[in-house]
Amino acid sequence: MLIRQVVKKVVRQAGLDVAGFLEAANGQEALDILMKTPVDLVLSDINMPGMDGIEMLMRLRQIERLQELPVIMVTTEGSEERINEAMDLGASGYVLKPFTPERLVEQLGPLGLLCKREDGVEPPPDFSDPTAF
Amino acid sequence: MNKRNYELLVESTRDVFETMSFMEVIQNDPITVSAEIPGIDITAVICIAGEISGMLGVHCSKQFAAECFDMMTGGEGGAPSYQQLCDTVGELANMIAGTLKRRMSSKLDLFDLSLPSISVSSGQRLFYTGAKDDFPRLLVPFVLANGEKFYVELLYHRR
Repeated sequence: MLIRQVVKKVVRQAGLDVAGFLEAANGQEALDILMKTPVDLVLSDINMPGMDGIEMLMRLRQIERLQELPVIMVTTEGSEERINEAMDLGASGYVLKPFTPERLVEQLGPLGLLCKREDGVEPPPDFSDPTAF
Repeated sequence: MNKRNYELLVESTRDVFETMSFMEVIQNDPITVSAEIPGIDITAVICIAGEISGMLGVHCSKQFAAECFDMMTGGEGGAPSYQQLCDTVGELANMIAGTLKRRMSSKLDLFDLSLPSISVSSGQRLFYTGAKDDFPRLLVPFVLANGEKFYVELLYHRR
């Protein structure tokens, strides 16, 4: 719950539209939402009650229309084994908690989701004010 | 007391606070003699199982949890509910335990971590009654710049 608020704040500061920000408490709730609602990006923890993030990712990739959906894992699970497992299942990025805003935004850039100026260049988010994070 | 594990616990705790909330925390010496600590409202516990087993706990007041919630959400979260305060302490314990795990074993999962369990009370006392040689218990007091205190505890046994 707390991390979802922090993530929402960071992605909004990075220029993403968070008006349609949807939240799920575990993997099953996330899948239920994804089956009904088109989304642009999934940010998911691995350790969650019920269905964890790895199983959610595995099931999500079995659904044809969700195979290309960007999924970034945001988790404390930092072993090579677990990172490789997520990436092999098609995770688009992997952010370890605790994270800086910059670290999360780094993962969003390659996905082409950040707002672009008229010249096509992504404006750098301003995280210089610590109290704003 | 294992000095290396104490250092890892302190580094992990500081890392979480400085990264997620830009809050500097100062550690005091670990408690090593019997002690009674008042003013504990929320305790979050992460169980540890594997080559190392035990638990990691964060003990604090409601005021401390509210301060952390406010700093981490940049004040956007409004007045936190009690559930949000509990979630905040649980997430702090989760991140401290995860960071500690990474510092202890980067390549292999030396141990697994549970989801946090939260105990709530009002102005309870935390008792430190010592530790056994084969089951060390570290209880480290930390303090924020505003004087708010919290405690991080690590109880562990290596197979």
